[in-house]
Amino acid sequence: MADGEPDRLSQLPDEVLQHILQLAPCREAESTAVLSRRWRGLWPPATSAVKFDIPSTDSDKFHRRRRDASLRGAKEALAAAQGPVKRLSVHVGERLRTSAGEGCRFVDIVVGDVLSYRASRGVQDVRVIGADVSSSEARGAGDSWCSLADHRVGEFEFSTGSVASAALRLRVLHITNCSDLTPPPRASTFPLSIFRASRTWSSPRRSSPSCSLNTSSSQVSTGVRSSPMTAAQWQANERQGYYNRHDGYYYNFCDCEDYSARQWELAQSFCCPGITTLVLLNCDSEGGSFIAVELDVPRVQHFRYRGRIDQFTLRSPLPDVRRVYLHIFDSYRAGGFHFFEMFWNFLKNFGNTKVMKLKVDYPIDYVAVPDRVRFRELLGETLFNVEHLEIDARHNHTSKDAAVAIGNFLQCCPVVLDLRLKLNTADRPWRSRNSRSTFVKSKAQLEFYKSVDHFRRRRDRPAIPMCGEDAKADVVSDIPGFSDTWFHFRCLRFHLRRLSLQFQMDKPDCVGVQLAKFFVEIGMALEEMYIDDGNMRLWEHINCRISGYAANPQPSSDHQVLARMSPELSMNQFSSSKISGWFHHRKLEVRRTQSGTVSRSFTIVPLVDA
Amino acid sequence: MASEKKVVFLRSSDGEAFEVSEEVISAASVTIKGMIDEESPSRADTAATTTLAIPNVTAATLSRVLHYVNKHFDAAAVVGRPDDYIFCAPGDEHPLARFDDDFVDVDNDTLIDLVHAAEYLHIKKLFDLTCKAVADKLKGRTIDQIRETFGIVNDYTVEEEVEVYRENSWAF
Repeated sequence: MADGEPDRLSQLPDEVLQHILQLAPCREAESTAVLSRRWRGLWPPATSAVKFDIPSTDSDKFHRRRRDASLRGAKEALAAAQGPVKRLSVHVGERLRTSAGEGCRFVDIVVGDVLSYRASRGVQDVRVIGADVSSSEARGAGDSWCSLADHRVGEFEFSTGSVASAALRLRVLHITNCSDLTPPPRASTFPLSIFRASRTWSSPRRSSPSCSLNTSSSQVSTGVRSSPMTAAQWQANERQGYYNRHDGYYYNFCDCEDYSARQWELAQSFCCPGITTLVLLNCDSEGGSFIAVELDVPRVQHFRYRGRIDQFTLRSPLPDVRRVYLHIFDSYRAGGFHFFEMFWNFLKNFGNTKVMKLKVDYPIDYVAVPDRVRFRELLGETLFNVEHLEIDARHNHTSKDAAVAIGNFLQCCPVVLDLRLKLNTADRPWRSRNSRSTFVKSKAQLEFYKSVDHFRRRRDRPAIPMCGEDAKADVVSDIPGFSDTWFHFRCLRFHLRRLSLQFQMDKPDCVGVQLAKFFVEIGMALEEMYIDDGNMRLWEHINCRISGYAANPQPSSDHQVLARMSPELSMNQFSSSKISGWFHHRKLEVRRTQSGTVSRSFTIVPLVDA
Repeated sequence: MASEKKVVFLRSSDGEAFEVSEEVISAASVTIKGMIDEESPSRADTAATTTLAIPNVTAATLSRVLHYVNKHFDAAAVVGRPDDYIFCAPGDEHPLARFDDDFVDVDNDTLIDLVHAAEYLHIKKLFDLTCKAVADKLKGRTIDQIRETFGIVNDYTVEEEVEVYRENSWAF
């Protein structure tokens, strides 16, 4: 692609692209915004999305007036819209809570009213977004469980029954920062029996004394049958403040003897046979009562979940599931009795998935199953379809179990092609908010920019001679857990094509280095490798011309190893014949990693071979 | 009827002329119908056939489009109900469904050329078909795969990208 020349597809006019996106599945259409600037704001078409606010006030008296004002605002917004309205976004203001402690209760009524208007007949997508009233420090930390810390989130209550009138045509229902979500009643008088959007369960009422009676009503199991639908999404972002990081967070549950009984006390069922995309993020409850949800979503293809592993069970298997993104943060029981059993049993649910991304907020050591027979019993090769496996976890650098746990993963994924491991030895997530980590981050950032600068002017610098003469580290040391004879590592030997390994090299022989060496040694089919040892001083190694001899067992020219290693790592640890052969690649990729989630290649420049 | 069938010539951007039945192309393309209607007063008294310039469409694409048009809009060739086959259930397959599948089973550039041509010529059925084919290429793919498939260059800065990801977080 020539510089500045957009690709053929992006050259199509807006209307054509919108027509195409309209025909594509919701999820893909939505995600295209990330493709490039050209695609941002294309979907949904600006004219078809209507926003209105439910404004904030302080006083209880104005509830009714506010409701009318909201309706008026919605009417105006609908009237101003050109063309059919497809999406309705409702922003709920702050400070809606009444003095009795109840959340704002009329949001669902307003939404229901607005949906019944003629102008909103075409609405397929409803988003109700509550104001984020969490404390500012927690707001930034959306990805870790500290976002559940001691603050209130959301001040409105939402009963899905009120959107029943629009249920037939809704495809996407998206609710964020809702303090209390009520599912539609089971009564079949509701047209909701053919609700096309996602369904959910109610949370127990807030535990404030004035509402505690309502808890019993939410114990009723609600099941909603729904007709087939193309996509639906549920994001109930109920980050409610019970877990205080300063008090007995880790013990409040373990002390409770009959936890299994409590666990099911509030069981709900969530039945939606047609749903294909299900997103459950931080759906939490308050007061230590555990909602366990029974999911009956047999046609789900994309599943994204953030929460504890004991929060739901599956009534039916998921034969169609393709992508599973899990972020698990139930550290209060991690390491506890039979925790690993729960973990692997949980993973078993997603045996059919092709893509699995897993992020755990506690040391991965906790899920290690060192015993072969035990592991067979638990899992075997259950994740037999996983081709893309991504694991993002912490590990204790004192413990050897991390390697065992990774070995367990590889053992149960026999056909993995693309493996990404991100290991860090960082402390508990909530501590990473402190100033030290900010300092480290900005230092790394500075080093990165400096490296970029060096990289641009790289011809001015003499190449650092770097020879793979040092053969002392050639031998792969035994990795505990990996050296065990019962691992056959079929996936590594014959399937693994791409490997990405990120870790912090805190000592020369850390787990990450061992793993890297191990993969290099054993991966017969490896084509692309990306190693990031956390060293941001790229300039030290960016222009290295690494001499070596091509002793690659598969010396095909399309081998490319994208490696980013510091000289000490590559020199001391990878002087093995194989890796130095691989270093005759034509490309060196500089990859910039931001906040752990978005990484983007910076540039690809051919290296001049010596 | 066949004996008195009028034909028009369509000249592609690279100068190649294609012959097509006037009746068929008028039924298919709103744009060409408009062109023919404009021409008709002047050509009523002459027997010469009309040549219409189609400046935006290359010969390769135009020949494909005409192949499609002849299959779908030639009343003699079409069997069954032509209108709602695109969205018909897999079970009751329209006779032309197979043809359509093969027709759009082409590389991306050709497909996008077809979208362009269908849009310019205002052939709604072809436009829907090709757009659907492009949409199908998006289906089930990750962003990186879509970029790779269509050669889309990511021109976001990292900060912007993080922001866009956040805005659209549910889709990932």
